[in-house]
Amino acid sequence: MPNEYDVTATLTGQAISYRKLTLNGENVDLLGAGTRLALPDTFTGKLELKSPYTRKWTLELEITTTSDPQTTVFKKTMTGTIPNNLDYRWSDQITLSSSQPPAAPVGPRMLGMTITAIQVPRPTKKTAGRKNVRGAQKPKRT
Amino acid sequence: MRRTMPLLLIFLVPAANVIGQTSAYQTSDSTSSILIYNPDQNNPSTANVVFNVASTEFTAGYLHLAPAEGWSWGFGVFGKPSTGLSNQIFQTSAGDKIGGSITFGYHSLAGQANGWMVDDWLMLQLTYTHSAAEIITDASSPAQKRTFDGPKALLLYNFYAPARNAATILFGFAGGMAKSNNIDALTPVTINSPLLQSAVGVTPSFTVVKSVNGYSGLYRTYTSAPIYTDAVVIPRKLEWTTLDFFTRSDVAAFNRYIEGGIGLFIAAPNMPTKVLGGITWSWKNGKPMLGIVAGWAF
Repeated sequence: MPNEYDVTATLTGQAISYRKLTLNGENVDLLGAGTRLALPDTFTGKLELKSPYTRKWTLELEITTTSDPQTTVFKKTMTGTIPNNLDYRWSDQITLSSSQPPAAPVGPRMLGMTITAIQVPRPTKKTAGRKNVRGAQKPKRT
Repeated sequence: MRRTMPLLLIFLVPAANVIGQTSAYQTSDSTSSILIYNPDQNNPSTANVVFNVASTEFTAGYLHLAPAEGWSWGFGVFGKPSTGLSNQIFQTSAGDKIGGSITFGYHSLAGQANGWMVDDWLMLQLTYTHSAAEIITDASSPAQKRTFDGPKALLLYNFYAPARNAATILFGFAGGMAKSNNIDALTPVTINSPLLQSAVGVTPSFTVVKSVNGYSGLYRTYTSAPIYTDAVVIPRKLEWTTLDFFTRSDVAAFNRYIEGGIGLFIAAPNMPTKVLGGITWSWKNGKPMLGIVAGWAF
């Protein structure tokens, strides 16, 4: 069941003629204006940039709950360079977590690889009682 | 403030001559097939003012190119305040004019499917030009003021692609229909009309004449079919310089011609398409044409 979130994304970089970020298939404003989206716990994020020049860029992405804007469920700063083929595309899974650590810059080597390493799936009603679920507490032996 | 300044400048430019082109990649006749996209990622709109020294023509334009796929639009004004000095230096003969244009189209990734284009946009540009000139046809008829109203419709397609990781090539193709006149082919003249003759007995005798700049020859209007192409090469190692290989032609029967040339443009650091100025050299029907432009982008 998707929940509503506020997504704030700011892309900086010069001479980028085409820029598109989609989360779960929905377009996100890249000028920091904020976009309200209904998102599942895990979804696909896609970023596409084009420039006629080799240019550096920075994307700051923050997702907060609409009920409490102070609760950040995802925060990440990504930096990178549009390569010589003038086209940069990134696509990966994003998992929302209220235990999201503060944003840390991602080195250029990690770009395009993944941003999911920092994510831990939230226990859901279905999985909370099951064994072998990451994040679920083991029952004590008596 | 950042967005309102370009608009203010557009409307404050005196006798602004808008061709509706927002590109500084202009030849001596102020034409281009390239509508440039925004150089600043955080501001999806671009405004600029270009002064074409060769034709003494101002163009001021504003273009909003959708940041991703989407509708884009722009408008412009242009004006040519006077003939005279530039015509003598650059051997041109275009008359005074003023006009405006609107542009709309779509920023798409249609060209991406072929594998080598990266980004592209297709625009339709509608231009209206109003001009007036004194024309003297022959010795037996007085000078006549002829006004000209010329609509023009151009379809422009722009895209860019890498060239062996050494450069980027920005391509432009434009074709359309226009109502034109042949004032470029007439001879620029100064027409002296007597206003006052000294009375008999006044010494020394004198004649007062009124002088106006005009054109001599058979004036005609016709339907033209202009086709413009540009290939702007932006080297990776020397981004502040660009080379523009261009053609300008008319395939309509009355004034059929093809003109080819090369332009060298200088851009702001790290902003290769924010052209500060340039010089073009072209050949039209075997006659060399020199053009100089200066541009300001916001």
